[in-house]
Amino acid sequence: MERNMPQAFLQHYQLFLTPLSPLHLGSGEDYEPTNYVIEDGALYAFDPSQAALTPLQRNELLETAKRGDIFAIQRYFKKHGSVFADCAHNVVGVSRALADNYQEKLGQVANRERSGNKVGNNFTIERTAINPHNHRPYIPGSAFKGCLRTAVLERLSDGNLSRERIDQRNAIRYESNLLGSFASDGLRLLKTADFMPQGLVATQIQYATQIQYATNHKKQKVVKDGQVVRAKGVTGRRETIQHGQYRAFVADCTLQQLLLAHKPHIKQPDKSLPRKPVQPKSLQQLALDANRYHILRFEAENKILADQELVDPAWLQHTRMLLAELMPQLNRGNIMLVRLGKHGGAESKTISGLAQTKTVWLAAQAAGETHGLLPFGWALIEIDPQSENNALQDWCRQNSSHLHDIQAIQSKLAGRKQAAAAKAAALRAEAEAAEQARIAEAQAEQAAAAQRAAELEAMNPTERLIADWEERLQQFDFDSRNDVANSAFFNQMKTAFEQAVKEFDDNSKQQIAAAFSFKKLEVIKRGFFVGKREKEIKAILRQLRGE
Amino acid sequence: MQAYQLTLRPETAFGTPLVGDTLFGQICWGIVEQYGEALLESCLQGYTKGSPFLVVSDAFPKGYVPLPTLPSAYWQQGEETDRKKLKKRQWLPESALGEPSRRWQMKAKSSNDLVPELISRHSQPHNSLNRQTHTTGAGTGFAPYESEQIWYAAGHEWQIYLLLDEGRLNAAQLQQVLTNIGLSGYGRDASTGLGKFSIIALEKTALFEQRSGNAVFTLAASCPQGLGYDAAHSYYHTQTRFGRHGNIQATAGQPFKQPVLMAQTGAVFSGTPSGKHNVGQGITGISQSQPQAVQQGYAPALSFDLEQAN
Repeated sequence: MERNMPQAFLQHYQLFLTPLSPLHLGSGEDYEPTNYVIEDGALYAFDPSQAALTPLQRNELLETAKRGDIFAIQRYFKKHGSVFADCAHNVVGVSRALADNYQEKLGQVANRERSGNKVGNNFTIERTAINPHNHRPYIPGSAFKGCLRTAVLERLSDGNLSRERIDQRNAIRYESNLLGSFASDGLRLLKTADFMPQGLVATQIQYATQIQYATNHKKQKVVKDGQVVRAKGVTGRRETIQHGQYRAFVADCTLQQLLLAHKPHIKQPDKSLPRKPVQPKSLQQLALDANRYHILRFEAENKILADQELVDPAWLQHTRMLLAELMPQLNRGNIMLVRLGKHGGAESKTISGLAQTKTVWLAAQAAGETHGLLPFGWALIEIDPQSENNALQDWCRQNSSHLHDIQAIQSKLAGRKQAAAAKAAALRAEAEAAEQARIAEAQAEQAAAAQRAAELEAMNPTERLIADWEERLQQFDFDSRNDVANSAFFNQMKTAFEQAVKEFDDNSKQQIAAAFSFKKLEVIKRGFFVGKREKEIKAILRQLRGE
Repeated sequence: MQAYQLTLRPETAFGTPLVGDTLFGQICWGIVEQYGEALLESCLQGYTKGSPFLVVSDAFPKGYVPLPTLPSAYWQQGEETDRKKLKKRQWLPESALGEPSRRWQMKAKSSNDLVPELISRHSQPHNSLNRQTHTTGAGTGFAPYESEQIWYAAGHEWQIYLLLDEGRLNAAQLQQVLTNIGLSGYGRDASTGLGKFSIIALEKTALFEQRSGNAVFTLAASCPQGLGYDAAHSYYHTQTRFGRHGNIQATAGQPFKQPVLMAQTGAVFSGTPSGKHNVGQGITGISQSQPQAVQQGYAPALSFDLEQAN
């Protein structure tokens, strides 16, 4: 080989993902009532530290937090919802039922246990994985790869199920026999990227996610005493990436070919390199595996759901037509149908014939809904599309009416954020002005005190004593109930006057006695010089007058 | 050697930080894959004898270099006196390189000054499904796991300096190899989506030629041992690199290399011959399973005037 000739060892693909039904890929994080509020049919997620609270609101929050009552804290955030919504980093559409439920039940006690514990709804919502910097959802590459891996394994197993008892140990052996172990795994050569949302401006695509109830249903019809028994499964709240968003996510993917012509130093090539049959030749080959695996499951599951009248008939009809229209591309491996994330069902994560589950999770608008639901996790991935996909675009148009509300809310949030920024700036300006006024006042007080000190300094000792005590008498806040303060003040005054009796000359004493005649004292502090105090002060005044 | 400046934009989260020696290793594998092992062998001739064909720096925010590691007494004091705040100032704008070095700390910025949360680390939960039982984990029962991901601020550009001997590998070839790495992912968990980046530009830079002085500071981790630098006027933090093999060698036999003690990025060395744009040495003898494996102990280095008090 020519020394500098590039080798074709790397195939690169660009992938576009369009969700066909709601997707939920958890991030392990939840929305909790302390970091979201629901208003006008939308969930506003925020960072509480970013909110522009007035001093009053801040104190209220501190007081509520100090009490440690979780219901009070929930009510606080609901009460000041709009302040927090203004600083939201993300807005998510919410089904009407969930919004009503939030308004009714948040901060309320649902059950009082015999032990006295109050139990309420904690209103946590499972969140999809997000980019922590821009708070937009993404689809981890590991989820996509896991989905392909199952499909490849299905092809390799070719219906020959392991007849051994299935347990953890032989299951791992079974998988590594077919696909290879850690070192010799064929899918090591497939390198997928995370699916990232496309920019808003470039493609006119919204990243709306809507919270829906995940409801839990019996798959087969159960008839008891002539009545169809509906399953009473549990429900959960999930943030889901909404369907009907054309090419909402984009990712890169590379497939590597092993180059062994140069005979690398590998001790046991059989054990540490993927065998030829498990090395993917192209992504199209993997796409065919994925389609073979998923199309069957799509049909099988939706037939059951349609028979039970659980699934939304319009959605199912549109989606079946779409798949029929795209069948040539699906058969060529240019498009793949995949099932990603939570609630996809065990059948879509296992090779055929091994998983048989009795319930199915569906996306619903309300907890009690049993019609018009959607399955979780279906998506179409296009590999290096050369042009627009008209069929898919039409499908998105038909199935995107639910996105309009979210789009409107998102644009409203932009305006709201602007208004909030202005409000925060006004609050900041107000706080600054208050601070300036406080500083000015403090300065004025300081100047007055300095002036007063200078005046006192300029006086002779007698004048100073008179001026000082006139001022102190004026300032003293007499409260007949506060005996300690009253006594302390009276003792100070008595000490000062007694000192004057000893130290000052007769003339000065006369002046002091005239300035603080008992009549005057009575006027200045009414009710203070009574009883024992009256006697004592009169005695001192007599001494000052030289009587 | 010609200095190049590579500007890149991270496209996904990363598993391994973008550092020079790891990237150098991945470039070497990239050369083998793209152009064959013969080219890499000729490139690596003389690598351990002070003649590298390529020296790669760590990634820095665009327009910044790391603030050299110098004792705090060296810096001229500015308005900020809080030591903890000063310690966080780690990025020196390239425009400040022209000023006296004692003033650099005043000009330096912390990561938060550039972009809030320039680099953040988050946990990503995973579980692996058993295709036979549809349960998770290899042990008994439920065994999900978390792995840490490094997220670079969205849309922020990063740059890496590369010193390239164009006689051995030309810039177009280097760009091709880097493009491949960007597409297939850098570092840990590249096969499940981490470490993708796109290249914005690979262009020549005169940053290294413009500079002179009695000392240098490094732009990657380096091995200065036994090279005769002036110990009294050199300053650095050390770190131990527990290197691993990459690519097919990672799973063939022993994946671990011997640990190497290195001076961290931003190390200051005095007593270097002037006009040299890199410091350190090529390290070998670190692997039993691949004896010819090398480790980048070189680092691109910028000259500056270290004011020596005595």
